[in-house]
Amino acid sequence: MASRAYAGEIGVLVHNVPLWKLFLAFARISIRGWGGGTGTIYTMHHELVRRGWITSAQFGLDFGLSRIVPGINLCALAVIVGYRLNGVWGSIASSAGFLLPFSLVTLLLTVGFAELTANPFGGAAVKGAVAVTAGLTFALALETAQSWLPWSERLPALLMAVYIALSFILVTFAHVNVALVIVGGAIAGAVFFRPVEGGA
Amino acid sequence: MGFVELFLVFLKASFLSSGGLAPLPLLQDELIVQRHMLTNEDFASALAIGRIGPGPNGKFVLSIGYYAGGVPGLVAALLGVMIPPFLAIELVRAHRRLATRPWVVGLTRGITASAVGLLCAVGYSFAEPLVTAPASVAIFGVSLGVLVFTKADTLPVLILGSLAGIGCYLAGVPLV
Repeated sequence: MASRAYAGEIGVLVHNVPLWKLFLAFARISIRGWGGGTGTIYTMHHELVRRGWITSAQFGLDFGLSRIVPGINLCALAVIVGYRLNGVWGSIASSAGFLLPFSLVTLLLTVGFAELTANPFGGAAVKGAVAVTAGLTFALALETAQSWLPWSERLPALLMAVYIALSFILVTFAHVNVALVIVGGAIAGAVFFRPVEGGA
Repeated sequence: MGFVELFLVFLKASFLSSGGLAPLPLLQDELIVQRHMLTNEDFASALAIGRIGPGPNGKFVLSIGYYAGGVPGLVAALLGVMIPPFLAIELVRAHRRLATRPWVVGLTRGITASAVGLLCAVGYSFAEPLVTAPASVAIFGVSLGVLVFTKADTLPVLILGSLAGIGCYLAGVPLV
């Protein structure tokens, strides 16, 4: 079933990769992917291309697809790659291999962190972190808006900006259910935020 | 809250969000605002832990699970984040057929627009109790500026913010 492709081409280079190999490869990616999302993406790309399983371009396409799926994008990426390499069972093997190691490390860190916050120094450190978290959230909102607003299409961009403000107000001041705001955004989007023909 | 209920909270948050920190507003609404199970401090700790270890930043959800219900809570969160990504298989199948349809593009944009508004709402709810203490407002303002203008990684900023918190404690400056 092997089909050959060049590195710049979109292509899966091998098929029916044994499930235990998928599990171990993704466990290795999981435990080596330090540095948050970016570090993990880097490691995953490196490990998959190094093994000759998929091309860089294929990884790029799958990464794009993984960003549309609900949940943690990197988990979706593990599912997609596993699916391409050995069907549904492959996706289960890669997903389990990816999730288990970092979940265990997170458990250990969380338990340790609870001890830390019990003493006054730790408590003060967390209060400082809360202030940073507030800043972090606004920064993330700005970055997301910047990369997603279709700047070349005036009307959809304007309507999206209005919905951003509206959802903020609805949640903060009217205490509207958060899930409702997202579903409302999806419906409003399907109707009003469609790309404008030749809008560039 | 029971295991199943907790699992459903995480499943819902995971299903209705895409990307590392995106479930934050939903979890905050469910666990802090509606059920008063956790505090802003718990969430800040979880986010910091999410930044430290290996794996995606979205693993902060696992820490929140632990705070909400110990090890079973973490398992509930793990199951909750594990399931929605499997929709990716359907997506891969449907990709060529649907990805360029205008209504799908519009729908994705709508979800993102609401996500931005919700992130602002979360930022506001974290920032609002700080307004009483100038030191916290300063940490907030500086970290926002640094993150926006230098595109700095969040971990060093979190560490510096925590050190500033310790500094304020030593100097006797109130943080809240």
